[in-house]
Amino acid sequence: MGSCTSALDRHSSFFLILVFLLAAAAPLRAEVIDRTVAFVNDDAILLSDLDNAYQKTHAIDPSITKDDVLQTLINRKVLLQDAQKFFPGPQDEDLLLKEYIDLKVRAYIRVPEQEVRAYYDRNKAKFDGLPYEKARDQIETLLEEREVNRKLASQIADLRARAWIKVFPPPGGFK
Amino acid sequence: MTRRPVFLALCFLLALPALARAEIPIKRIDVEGLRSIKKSELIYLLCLSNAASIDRVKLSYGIKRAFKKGIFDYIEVDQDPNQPGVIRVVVREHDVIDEVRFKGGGDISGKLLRNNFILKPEGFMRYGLIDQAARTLKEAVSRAGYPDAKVSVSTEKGKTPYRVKVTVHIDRGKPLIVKHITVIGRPADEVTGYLRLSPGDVFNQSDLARGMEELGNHYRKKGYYDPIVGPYAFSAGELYIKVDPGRKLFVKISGNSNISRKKLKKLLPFMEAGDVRDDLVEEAAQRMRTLYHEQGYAGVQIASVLKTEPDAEVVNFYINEGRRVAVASVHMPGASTVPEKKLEEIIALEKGSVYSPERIADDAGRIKSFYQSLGYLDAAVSGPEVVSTPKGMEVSFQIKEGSRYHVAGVRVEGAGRIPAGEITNAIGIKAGDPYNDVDIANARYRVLDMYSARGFYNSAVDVRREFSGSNATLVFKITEGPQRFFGKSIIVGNKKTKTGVIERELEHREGQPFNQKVLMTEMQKLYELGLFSEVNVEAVKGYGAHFDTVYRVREAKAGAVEFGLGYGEFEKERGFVSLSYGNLFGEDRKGSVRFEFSSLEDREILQYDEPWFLGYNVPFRAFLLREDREEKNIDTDEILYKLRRYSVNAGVEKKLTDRVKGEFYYEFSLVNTYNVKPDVVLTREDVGTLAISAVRPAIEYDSRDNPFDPKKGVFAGVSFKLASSAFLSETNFGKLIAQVSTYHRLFKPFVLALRAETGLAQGYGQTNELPIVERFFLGGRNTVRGYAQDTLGPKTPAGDPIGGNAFLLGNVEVRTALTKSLGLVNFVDMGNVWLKIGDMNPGDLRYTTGIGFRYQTPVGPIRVDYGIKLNRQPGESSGELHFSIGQAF
Repeated sequence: MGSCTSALDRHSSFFLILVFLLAAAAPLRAEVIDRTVAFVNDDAILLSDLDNAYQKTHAIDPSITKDDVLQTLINRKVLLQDAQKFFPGPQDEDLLLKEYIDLKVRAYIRVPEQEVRAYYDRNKAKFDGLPYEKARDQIETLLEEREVNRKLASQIADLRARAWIKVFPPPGGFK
Repeated sequence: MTRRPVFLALCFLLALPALARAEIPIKRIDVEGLRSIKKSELIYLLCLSNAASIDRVKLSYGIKRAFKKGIFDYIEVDQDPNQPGVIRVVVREHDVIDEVRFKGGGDISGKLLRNNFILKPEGFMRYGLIDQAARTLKEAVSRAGYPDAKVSVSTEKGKTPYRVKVTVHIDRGKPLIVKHITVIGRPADEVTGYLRLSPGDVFNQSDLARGMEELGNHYRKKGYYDPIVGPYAFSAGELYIKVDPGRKLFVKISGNSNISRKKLKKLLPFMEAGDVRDDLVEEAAQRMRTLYHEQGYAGVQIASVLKTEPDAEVVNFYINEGRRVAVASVHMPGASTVPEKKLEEIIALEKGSVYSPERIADDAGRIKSFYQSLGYLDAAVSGPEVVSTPKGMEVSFQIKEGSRYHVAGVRVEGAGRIPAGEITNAIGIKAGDPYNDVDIANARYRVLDMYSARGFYNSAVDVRREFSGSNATLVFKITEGPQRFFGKSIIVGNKKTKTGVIERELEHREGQPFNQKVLMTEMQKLYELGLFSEVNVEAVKGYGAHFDTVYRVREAKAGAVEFGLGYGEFEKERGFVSLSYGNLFGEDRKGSVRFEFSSLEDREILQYDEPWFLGYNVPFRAFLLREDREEKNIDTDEILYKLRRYSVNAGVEKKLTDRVKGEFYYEFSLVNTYNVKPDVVLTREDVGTLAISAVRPAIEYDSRDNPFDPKKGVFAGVSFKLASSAFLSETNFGKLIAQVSTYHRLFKPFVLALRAETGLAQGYGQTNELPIVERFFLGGRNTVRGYAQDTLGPKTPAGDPIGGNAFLLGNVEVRTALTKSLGLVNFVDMGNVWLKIGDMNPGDLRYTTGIGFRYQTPVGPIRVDYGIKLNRQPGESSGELHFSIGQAF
């Protein structure tokens, strides 16, 4: 038995060494250090950007796809490029976007009093007896944010239509 | 026992990818697909370098940086585990459109097709825009009268990589033909001539729109203030167009005598508004009032009446201009520490100028601000009080100066990265100084500048004033921003010009503190190259604390053809043709060939300029010259000698400071002097072929404000030419020329210009006399006016000038600007030429005086001078007339 075992051991060892040698001798695929996954005019979005953004977003929303994240990155880029025209010079991107949205979107939004009132009347139950005067500011902020989002989406669509955007998905698409 | 090798093998296999990823120093970088820029530029932008290991974050920044070039479609960087240390960079550039061809356009104008097709030659081929391009063109063709047109676009690869040819196929279909035009509302013959369409034409809506616009303008010119042309309809060949010129406007202006009706009517807003209403009539009257006030008619009265008649509006303006009043006097009672004269300079009103209520409105505020800026913080100014007198308006401002504040001390807070002492020095204000807001504002900017120049981006300086009685302590509170450094330079838009040509002009180096002012200087330097019609520089966020700089250039046309014809009092007809190219091999090298001709000489010059000689910022210039010249006695028109010269000049120039330039040239000339009048021969070298080989160092100082028409500054220079047999010259001499010119603004509109110049030459070795082509001559439009060209100095018994080895020259000019483009010059010139240096005698100078006119043109003033000899010799003319371009000196 002992010799059988020993023979088996020898065979296994020989087999594993063979596998190792074959594996070691087999050519390894070139590793992509980084590459363009999309460009927006003369700004590139890289695989590393996409992976980083995907990791962060996926942790919050597991249903999100890489393609969704890429589209978000493209949207951010078109906004940033337009923002640079109004606020030239290097600066923090988040701050730049905030200033841009305030200037180009929020500045044009006025929520009429009757809309605030109508919202309150429609959703009175949700306010749990809170009088209109106390709920008013909260409703106005909510309606303003909704309008900001709507106008921003339209602004993005307009900027995207004018921009030169190209996406380079891997074969089979982004997973 | 069995588990151990299995485990080891598995570990090894699992570790393989990690091993492959291990950062191995780069041994080689392979680049694939690159065409438009050099591999070295791409590697620089990517931040890769041999022998260093890959920093993945820096590389990602690098790829984005390379994309800023605007030429890339795709970049990928990978490494092959089978070849450790070998990095592969795969790029794909944007396709560029070689040409756009239109097929099947028929009689549709090529301009219409080109203008309406959004893909342009030399633009990037954006394949995603093909459908939109076809659609836009189809719409334009449809408007041109071919509603059934079909447009398709095909592309084919060009012969070189990344170049494509675009073919636009147009199937026009059946055109719409105008069979008849019906005009509604006006007689057809009044309208159809403007419409650009006639029966039988293709129904081109673009032409029709232009025609309708012209018709509208025609009606406006006729006085219709709101004509409506259109709408139109087209059906089965019938074009219906509605025209309603609307109502006419008649404007009558009476009572004006000092401002013309034409000028007043230009102020009317009716045509622009397309309406005539009471408020517009009042606006027109107000505009007229303002114009009258500006011209000094402060008491002008304008009444307006708007009357509506059956077919027109009639507006009457009745003007009572009143008298034109000037400011007789300006008084500022109460002003004691600041002279009234100084205060008068600040206000808009000037004594003697026309009185205008609009101009005076803000003067009290201006005076108060001025006082406050000097530290009189409690100053109060009331007025103006205006009294009308027969002499004009007497204007006075009542001033209460109050006490002057002083600086008690200066404190700096918040400084950490720059020593406070250095900041205090930059502030430059100390305890005891008068409090002055302008000085404080300047000091603040100096501190900001200091931080900015050292890369502390977004730093802020606030000045707080702590008052105690009439003293103020100034506290400069500094908020230091983060320090930033220059990153990499990205050069965009240079198609012909090599990137290195731009890079070598840049003043910063990577890693230096970021300074926005340096970018401005660089932009100016790039413009000064003359290669670009547009240069934009911007800083973008780079890796870490670095700002990358992006230089966007648009290349100008490098080639130029110039020609000119003129007339000189000496050469008679003259002209030139010049062909030049300013960017040979994309290296900013300039080459030119120039042909000059006149009745006295023909010259051909082939010139080459290299701005950076052997890689150093030292301009090199070389030129070949061939010249055929006749020297004449101006008075007798007799030929003194003829000359043919072949010459090679080569040398370097170097700007030593902003104002000082040094140069060193080598000259070799083969001069054949023939048909020489025997009496002008001084030496055997004056006749026949002579080789002159010389070096010429020179230095010059130039602080003039404008070299073509200086108003202030100094120009001085010294040059020394040494010809020697050591350089294979057949003649030996040294020749020194020194000159200084100064320009002084006297008071408006006078400029005083002075020049002194001397030349000294001496032969040596076998050479006693300088050959005639190297001797000095004076007289003529640029030296001593009043004497004909080269006629001063030693002469033969027959009166022919023979030149000499020494000269002195002096000029004094008073230049007066009569208008913006016309000038008057009064001058005194003096000078003479002597055969030998030892013969020089200042008592023997010849003097002339005269007058001249200048007319400013973009190439310098056109000049006509007449000089009169003050110590005229027997047989000499009394004076000479001179024409030229540019000032005499």
